[in-house]
Amino acid sequence: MSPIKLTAAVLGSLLVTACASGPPPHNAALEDARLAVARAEQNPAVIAYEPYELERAQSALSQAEYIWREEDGDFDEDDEELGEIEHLSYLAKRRAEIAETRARGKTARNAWDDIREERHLVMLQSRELQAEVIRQREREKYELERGREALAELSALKEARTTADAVIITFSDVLFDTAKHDLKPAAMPIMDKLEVFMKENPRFNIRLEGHADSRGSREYNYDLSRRRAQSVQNELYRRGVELHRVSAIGYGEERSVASNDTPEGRAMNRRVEVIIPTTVPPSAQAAQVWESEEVASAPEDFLAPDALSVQEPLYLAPPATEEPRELSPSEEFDTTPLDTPF
Amino acid sequence: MRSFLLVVLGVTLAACGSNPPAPDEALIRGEVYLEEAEYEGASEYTPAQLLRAQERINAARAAYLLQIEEEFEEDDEEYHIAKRHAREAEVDAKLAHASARSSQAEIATEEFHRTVEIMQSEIQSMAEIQLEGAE
Repeated sequence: MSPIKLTAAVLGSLLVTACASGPPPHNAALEDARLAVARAEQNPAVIAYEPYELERAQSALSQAEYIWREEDGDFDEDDEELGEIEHLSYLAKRRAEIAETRARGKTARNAWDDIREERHLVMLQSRELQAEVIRQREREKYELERGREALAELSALKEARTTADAVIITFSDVLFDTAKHDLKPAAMPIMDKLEVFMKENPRFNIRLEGHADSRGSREYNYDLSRRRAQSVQNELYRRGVELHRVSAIGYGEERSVASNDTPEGRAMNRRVEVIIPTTVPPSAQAAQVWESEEVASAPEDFLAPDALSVQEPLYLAPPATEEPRELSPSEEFDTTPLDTPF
Repeated sequence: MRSFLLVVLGVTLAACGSNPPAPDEALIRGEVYLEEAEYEGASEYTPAQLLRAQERINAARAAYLLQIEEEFEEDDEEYHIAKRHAREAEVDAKLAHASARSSQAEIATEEFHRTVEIMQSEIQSMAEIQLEGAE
């Protein structure tokens, strides 16, 4: 360091020392208060919820500012005025913090009210859903019952036979043209019954199995049996039964029911079987999810004969005596009023 | 109970004959805020603020008691200092109280929010299953 610079530094420090009794450049407490009040003033929640506390902070700050200006920074270390400025600044800063803190709480409490509204909506939604599940189960039960009655009617046909889990209707050879797959007009009465059944019981799906006798090549028989099954499927489709509810398969000569040695036996083997399963899987997986005591013990008289004779679909008008049901999954959905805990 | 004590205190002070300063209102308010802050669980939510407020209130109370003991006059400097102590202690206690209450509200609201969100997602998945079932 050069002598000149050293001299300048010494002079500078002397000057600073000389000014030490002069006005301090700033007051830390007052600076803090200004910052805190300015921050609170820019907080919309404070403006909205804590205007009074903010006003008190501003008032304390402006008192401090006033003394600060009056004294023009001319303080001694233990000046009474300096103590007052620091005291007022402290109050201003704390009041600004109080305003902000309280506004934060008020914001949270408002949010609580909004969430409570939301919760109310969710609960309504869950009630609707639950009611829909109950209606659906009742509809299923009703449809199944009606389907069983219709099945009983079908099984009374002379072309039908009943197994443990299905009703099987056989379209015999005489209903098809020889060596062809087209249905003869004689098949139409059975088709009519099948059509009505399928349309009235949308929850029942059926399977069509074509069979042939052993004359001719395996490929030919397989093809013929498949085409015959498909022509029944096509006829149903033409009558308005959705394709996905009817599956068709040809077994060729694999599954004979009688000897292929006699003309009668062969005639019996050439056939299309309509297989209607009597057990229908529950349509809604929801049924399992929503399984609850209430639903499981749904009124038994719900499907009482007189109830079934009602023209209107039963599921649109549940019994008026029904108890309001609690939602099954848990008590989280209880309806007890929930008040703000603060 | 408190008002009874104050009355007793007032009578006692009046009996002293001199002209002692009345207990600073700021100190009394500060003590109430402090008590409320403790009740609202400030030791759990804002322990540092509570501790500071307790210290300031204790200091203000000590200053006030000294005031009585030394029989300060209203224009004594010590009297003013005691008053400042009381006012600063009051805002400290008030802040501790506000902090405890606001933290409480925020925590409860956050928890409530989560609960309702869980409910919503449960309902949502049930509705989806329901829709699938109904085809």
